[in-house]
Amino acid sequence: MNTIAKALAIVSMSVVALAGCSSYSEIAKWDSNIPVNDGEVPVASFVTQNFSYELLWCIPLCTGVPWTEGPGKDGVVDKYNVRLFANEATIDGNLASLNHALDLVGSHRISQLRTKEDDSKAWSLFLVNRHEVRTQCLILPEVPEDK
Amino acid sequence: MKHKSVTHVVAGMAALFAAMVAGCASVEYSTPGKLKNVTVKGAPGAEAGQHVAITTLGYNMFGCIPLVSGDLRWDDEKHEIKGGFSLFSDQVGYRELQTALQNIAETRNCDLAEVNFHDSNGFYADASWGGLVGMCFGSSQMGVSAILVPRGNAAK
Repeated sequence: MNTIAKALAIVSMSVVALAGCSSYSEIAKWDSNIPVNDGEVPVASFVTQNFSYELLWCIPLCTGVPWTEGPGKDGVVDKYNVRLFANEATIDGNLASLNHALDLVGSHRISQLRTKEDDSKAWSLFLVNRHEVRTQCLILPEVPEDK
Repeated sequence: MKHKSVTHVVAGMAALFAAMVAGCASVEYSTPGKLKNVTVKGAPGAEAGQHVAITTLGYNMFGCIPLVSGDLRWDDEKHEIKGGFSLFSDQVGYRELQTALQNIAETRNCDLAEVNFHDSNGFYADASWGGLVGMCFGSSQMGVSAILVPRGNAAK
């Protein structure tokens, strides 16, 4: 009985970890004429976040995979695409997602780019670190060449 | 037998401490060229730059007694940030982040764009046995991200 309980606990912890180890990206269309800062109306806002789990801060256990292909549904991609023993929650991964989103939107002009890295050591008393990298920005319309 | 279990406890605590302080201060750069297809408003030349994120983390008791914190030390020889830690002092602050960012920019002959700070605080109730021990410990985290714009490109 004790063994079954232990096995269940390990399985449920793994499921929680793997489920949380996903990448999320969203292109939220700016459905309004309200300008930002100097009178320019953005096309959309963009956010992407990715997680990885590391044992003792150095041994990668699992990671979400950055969004670099496919259109997504209504600009939202919540990917439970987990890669084991790797760490793809990086600035490079997020910038790859940003580039993909800009390709989809059709404008490569942005503003207010911001990246936040967050390490949560609350997991299992510091033994497992959950690393989160979040990047967000506003996507602005392309400026015509003659301007 | 008793000696062996003491050794195990000490080794366990050392591993826990190492895990606790590891990564208390971190600097991550994007690979050059990752922004080449991006135009950043108000930051000419950013497409040739690198995105950088600096994060520091500290632990405290009852929200006011510092236990250990990340320490962004500048290595004069390597001209780079050396992420370390300090015991019983709080090195997590905007001034420290700002100085680190300025040092990085100066050394790499870059200007800065899209400088954004963030911070968060937390308690470890969820990590404790019974919630009592954890409630005593808190953490504070601060970070900044920016684009390093090479000066030659910014002038174009």
